[in-house]
Amino acid sequence: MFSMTVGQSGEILLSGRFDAAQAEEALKTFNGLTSSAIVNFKDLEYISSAGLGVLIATQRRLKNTGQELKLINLNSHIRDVFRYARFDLIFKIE
Amino acid sequence: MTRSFKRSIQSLPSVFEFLGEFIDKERLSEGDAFTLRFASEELFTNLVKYNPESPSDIALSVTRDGSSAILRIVDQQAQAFDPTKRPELDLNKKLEERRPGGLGIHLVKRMIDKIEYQHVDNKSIYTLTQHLE
Repeated sequence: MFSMTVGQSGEILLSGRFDAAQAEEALKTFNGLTSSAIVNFKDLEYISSAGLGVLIATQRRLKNTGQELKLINLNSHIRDVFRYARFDLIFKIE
Repeated sequence: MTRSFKRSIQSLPSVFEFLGEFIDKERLSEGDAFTLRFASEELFTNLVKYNPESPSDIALSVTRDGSSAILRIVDQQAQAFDPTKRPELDLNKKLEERRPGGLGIHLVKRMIDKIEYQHVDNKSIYTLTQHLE
């Protein structure tokens, strides 16, 4: 189960499992972003390389126009994955 | 526990359900459960992507051996693909220099304690051993 909601402030809330079966739909939503945004991982239990691929494609596109994603509230396991992938060099993570 | 799954990304919810039965039965920690799901998804989706022509289902088995979990994935009618022989990725590259591909296997190698690969009778057999917390 995965869901992605955009709050009134523009913050994107991810929840559930962001796996390869969800990546295509998630990318469509992320492709609608044209300015910097906060992605809140508070309710996200799991992410695989397919989910990471969606985030990095979005970051690359946004950075071309001086915008970017900022990631917050990653659980310890997801934080480890970001560290192993060296995504801590690519995203602002709080 | 062993089960076979159709060669499709859409099989992932069933793969996770299968793993969930083992995770609950063995009362694995959140960290071990995360690693087991991650490694299973990355290898399974790799086989879906890179061996799409095979008509066979992909078999997963997961067992406990003392303080370790053993995950075995068997792909029939498969050309050899040994993840342990993949070159290391350079993860220090800047965003614009990074290219997709290979990240999932790299992360599995980083997270799993031991990965063994055999190619026998046109079958790829991946055996992953994870020491449990």
